[in-house]
Amino acid sequence: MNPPPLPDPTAVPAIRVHNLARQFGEIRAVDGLSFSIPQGQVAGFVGANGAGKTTTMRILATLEYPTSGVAEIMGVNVMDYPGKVREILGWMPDNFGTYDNMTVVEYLDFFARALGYRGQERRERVEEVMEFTELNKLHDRLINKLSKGMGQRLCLGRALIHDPKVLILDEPAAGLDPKARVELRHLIRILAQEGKTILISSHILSELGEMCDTLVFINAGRIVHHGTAESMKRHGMNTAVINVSVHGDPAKLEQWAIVSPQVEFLQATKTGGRIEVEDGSPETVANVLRRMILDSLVVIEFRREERNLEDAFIEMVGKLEKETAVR
Amino acid sequence: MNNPIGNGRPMSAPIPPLVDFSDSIGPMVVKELRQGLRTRAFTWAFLFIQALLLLFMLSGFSETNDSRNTAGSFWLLLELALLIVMPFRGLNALHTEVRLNTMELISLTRMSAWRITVGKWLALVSQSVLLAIAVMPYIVLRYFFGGMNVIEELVLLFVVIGLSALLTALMVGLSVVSNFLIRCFFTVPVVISIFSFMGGSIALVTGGSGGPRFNLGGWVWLWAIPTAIFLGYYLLGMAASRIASQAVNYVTIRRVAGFIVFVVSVVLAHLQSTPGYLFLPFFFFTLLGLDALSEHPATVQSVYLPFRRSALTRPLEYLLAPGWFSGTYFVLLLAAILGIAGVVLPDVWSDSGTESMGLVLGFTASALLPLAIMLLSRPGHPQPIVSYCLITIFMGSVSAVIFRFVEDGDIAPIAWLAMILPPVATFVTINHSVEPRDMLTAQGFLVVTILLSVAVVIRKWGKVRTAMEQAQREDLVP
Repeated sequence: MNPPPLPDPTAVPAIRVHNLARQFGEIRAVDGLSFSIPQGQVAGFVGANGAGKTTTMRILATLEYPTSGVAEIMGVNVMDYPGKVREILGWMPDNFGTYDNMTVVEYLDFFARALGYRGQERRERVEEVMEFTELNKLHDRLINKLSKGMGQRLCLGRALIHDPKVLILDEPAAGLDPKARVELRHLIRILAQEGKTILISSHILSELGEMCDTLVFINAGRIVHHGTAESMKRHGMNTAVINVSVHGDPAKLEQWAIVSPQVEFLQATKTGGRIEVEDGSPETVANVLRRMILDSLVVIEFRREERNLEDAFIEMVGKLEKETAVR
Repeated sequence: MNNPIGNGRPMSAPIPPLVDFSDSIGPMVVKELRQGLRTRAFTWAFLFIQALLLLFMLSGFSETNDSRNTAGSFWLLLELALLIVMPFRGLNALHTEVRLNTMELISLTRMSAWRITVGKWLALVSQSVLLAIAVMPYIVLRYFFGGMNVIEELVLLFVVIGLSALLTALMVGLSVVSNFLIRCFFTVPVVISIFSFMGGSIALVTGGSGGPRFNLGGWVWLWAIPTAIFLGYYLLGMAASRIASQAVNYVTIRRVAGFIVFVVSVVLAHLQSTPGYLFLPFFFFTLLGLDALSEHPATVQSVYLPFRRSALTRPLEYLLAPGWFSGTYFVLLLAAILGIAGVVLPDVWSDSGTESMGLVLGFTASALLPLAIMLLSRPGHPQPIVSYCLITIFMGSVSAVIFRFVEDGDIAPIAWLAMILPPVATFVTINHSVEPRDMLTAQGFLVVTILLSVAVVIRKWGKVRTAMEQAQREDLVP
């Protein structure tokens, strides 16, 4: 009845969640969640407030116990081997607790000591982390006097002291001004280039779209969508809206659309118009363009209108709420 | 900003040799000392004591001043600082970390909950010792003025430092509980005892009668010092297991240690053949019971699987696994030992075996009933110790009022109704003025209370176990 042996760390996903559930009294915060993130990827964790993001992240960070299910970091079960998981995981919570009477360098020094670093090696780690997070100019500043952005950098620095392979960042950009957000995004990009696996939750979806290789969208404790930002934008879209500009008389486009199958003319513009293609698949859209050219329309612009992530997110949540209400 | 960060040694790699002195004293002690020595409480206490002691010493030069007054003022000041100000700073030690959301960050490091707790305690004790060392020159000065017993005062200084360390352990232990009422319930009697001790100690050095006198010599140290060390360890252990991850088991070793000390205290009480020494076994029974019955049960595999390795270790799960379920059996075991001791050597207990049995039943029922009420009313409370203590305090307060209706051998109807409260029934069973028949009836109430409480515990444990098995089945779903 001993816990199972540890797997080969190179052959497993960095994060694997299987059938995970967490119940708080009558509330099921996480409800049968399953997903996995390959090593070296940056994954965004998206969901409305109360969707179960933080609970899932806390379970992965060994701070919470699931009611049932399996959660693994680099193939190591967070329940069976919390100590092993903590060695390879860096955790940055959404709210950063500060100490009184403690400076930046003392704070990082304390965590370096607590992580087992000694003497010269400890000082070097602290210096490296301060340099990376650009906190070396503030090393003697009391931490309860830091701004939110500096505090987040310090918190990220603390999570990086033991050079973890996997980073879990819960709302790292919350409450930051645009400059601090750009700086934080820059740091995360560098970490991603180093090959670290990063799971990051945020409400600023446009930023997630830019930073992440994949997005995991959860609602009411369940996975709703898991894929790239592009696939999330197109999720649930059966049609494609296309902006077309033609050389010559723009009315020709409307006349062409009226007689063409699968195409509906939506709106005229100065140089052409907006058309809707019934089936939004890339093949059908390409076929429409080919037909336009074959029918002698001089197309000078053919641009598919994309929903942004916020629109896709709001639409998804709306649909789910409607479905729940119907049930 | 662009420097690569990925060249740190993994946490699991061997630790290189120590380089700094501070590396050898633990991260938490270093952190707490850095913070603690900057706090106003320490700085002002330090400066205030130095200033006042200097003043007392200067006044001691005057021929009219009695050296005993200087000694009294000196010790009053020092004991206030070491027994009140410094230990009470420990009341916020662990709760502050939880409130600031920093405890979780620390728990993700290599530091165990035990090292965190002991580190907090050690840092506070170090500051107290620093204060004590800083007053040493004044002791030397007073020696040159004359009129003091150096050995006696040095022994007293060590006693005060030891007591300060024990009180600090109590406060650090209490710091996991944020409830104001519970804190008051435990600290008010402690403060009263401290002032009583201060009165006695000052009377000792001044030769006056400032309070109950006590003797610094005698064999009492043989049990007082080990008891204090055990208490310190146990209180810090209680705090550590309440901030520890569920996957870590601090309980088993603590229960084993508690059991050994409890048995030794029972044996010592009987060797002394003095009823007054029964205080210790009953004190340990209460402490061990409070601890064992106010813990969440072990639902994490890494905690309960070691008990299920063999047929030999399996029964131990019922006594030594963390949680209130095994805690109930553990308390029943302690009660059985007390009961057997009462039957085998009844002369130590009292004149009648009925009374000793009543005490054992009363303590057992008083320990188990709050657990049963807690499991029925607030089973999912994140801090069971809070619920448990509040129910106990409420039960004790109501019982204290009812005691007035059991006087001169007459039991008022309201007292009969309140017999469901174990303290009331216990009071009846040990009240010599009550009819033997009424004493037996009260014992009957206690037995029924114990049986009902155990039934509730078994039923609630059944539900927890079913939920655990259900969760394990769900884990296996592909």
